Amino acid sequence: MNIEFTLNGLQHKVTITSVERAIDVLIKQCGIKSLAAECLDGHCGKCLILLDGKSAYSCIMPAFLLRDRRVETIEHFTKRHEYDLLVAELHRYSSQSCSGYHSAIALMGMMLLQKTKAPQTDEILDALENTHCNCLDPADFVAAVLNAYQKLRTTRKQYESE
Amino acid sequence: MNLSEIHFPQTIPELLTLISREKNIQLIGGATTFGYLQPTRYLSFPNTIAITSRIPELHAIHKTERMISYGAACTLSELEHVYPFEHPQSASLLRTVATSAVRNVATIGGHLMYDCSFLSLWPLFACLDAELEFRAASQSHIKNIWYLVDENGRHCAAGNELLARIRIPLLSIDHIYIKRIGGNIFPGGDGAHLVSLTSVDRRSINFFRLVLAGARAFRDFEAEQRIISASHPLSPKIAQTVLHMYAESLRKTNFWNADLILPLIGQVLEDLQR
Ligand SMILES: Cc1cc2nc3c(=O)[nH]c(=O)nc-3n(C[C@H](O)[C@H](O)[C@H](O)COP(=O)(O)OP(=O)(O)OC[C@H]3O[C@@H](n4cnc5c(N)ncnc54)[C@H](O)[C@@H]3O)c2cc1C
Repeated sequence: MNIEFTLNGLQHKVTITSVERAIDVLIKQCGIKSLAAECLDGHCGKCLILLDGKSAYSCIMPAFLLRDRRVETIEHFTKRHEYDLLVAELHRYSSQSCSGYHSAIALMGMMLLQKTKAPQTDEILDALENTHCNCLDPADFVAAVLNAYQKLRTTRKQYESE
Repeated sequence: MNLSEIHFPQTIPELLTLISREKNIQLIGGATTFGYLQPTRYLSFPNTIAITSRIPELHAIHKTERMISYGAACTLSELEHVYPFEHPQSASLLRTVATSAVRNVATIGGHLMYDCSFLSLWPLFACLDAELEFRAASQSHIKNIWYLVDENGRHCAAGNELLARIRIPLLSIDHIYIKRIGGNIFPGGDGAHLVSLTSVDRRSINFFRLVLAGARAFRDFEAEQRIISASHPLSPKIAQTVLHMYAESLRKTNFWNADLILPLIGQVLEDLQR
């Protein structure tokens, strides 16, 4: 069947069957490079996407569930000022740099920065839990996200008042 | 590789027509059990599958003075701020179900209808006397959630019927006790949850439920009746009698690991004695 969905802001039309997983369609048909299908059961977190703005594992999701949805991967954010700010904060707070999970962690961070209200600590920890990354201290992630959020708000306020 | 015909019905009547026409149809909520349980690269489904999540009616949450009802396609995350999950203990229980990336997709319908075991939220819904509204082309019926349990305590989800809504009477709960025991809950294993709810009116207990659920589900209606209308705090004599009743029926039904569970039931009763 043919399905359409929005991927990183662009409308995509793909042909799929019932047997395909969302991750395979995103990688093979849409050329997404940031995802990895390592576990196929949502345990490695390297397949995280945003589905209508919320986190989801694309490796356990059948491709047909992408139909008419809005999908974002980290590629959508990497050219943004917010992304640079988040990565800088992550580096500042965390002495450990985690290459295996970088995309998933950054995607969770970007999801939290999109919020209109400052994210709560619980929410930030929930988001980090999705990645199953063991090397990043949760407290560092919380501090990095909250700091990036604060800086973004200040920048936005300055921009608005100018 | 078996290719299936995929349907995205937009209304309940459309879905019911499909169900009555197709014998071998599988309903799909968030599909998280399918993607997780199939270790192969390619997924396999029956010949026809119907996705419930595009039907607006199955997403609606209604609340009246007396009850709340959720459409079966509401995701677990969508239920985070509604009854009974605004209680801290129930909220913590909800957050133990996988991670938010699963809860954002998994539906409450799929959670309750997963037929290999009773998943984490099931015993809470059973304690709350949740009623399930099933729809089929020719009829619809409302059944107590306990109807999903067969005489051996196993899950017996009803074939191709659509679970459309879950209705829960709004109760004011004074004591909530939730404890997880044993190993895994999903996809299987010897894990179970003990959930107990109590409400007290003046100095007597007017509502008490205690449900154990994992691979099997257990509830002792008689022991519950003994506690209801007893005075609060509970007298040691009633607590002893009730504990004895639970011990007897747990052993009779051969429920998993009574020795582990009895001290927990004792703890619930002890709480009511304070
Ligand atoms: C990584 C991971 C970790 C997990 N950890 C936990 C855990 O710790 N605790 C826990 O309790 N659970 C856990 N789960 C299980 C999770 O709760 C279920 O996968 C989820 O709730 C199922 O919802 P779904 O909408 O995806 O159901 P689906 O997979 O779509 O369906 C499940 C079953 O329900 C049927 N069904 C779906 N909707 C309806 C309907 N409206 N009417 C009739 N039948 C219907 C389907 O035909 C199928 O048989 C975990 C799952 C994953 C993937």
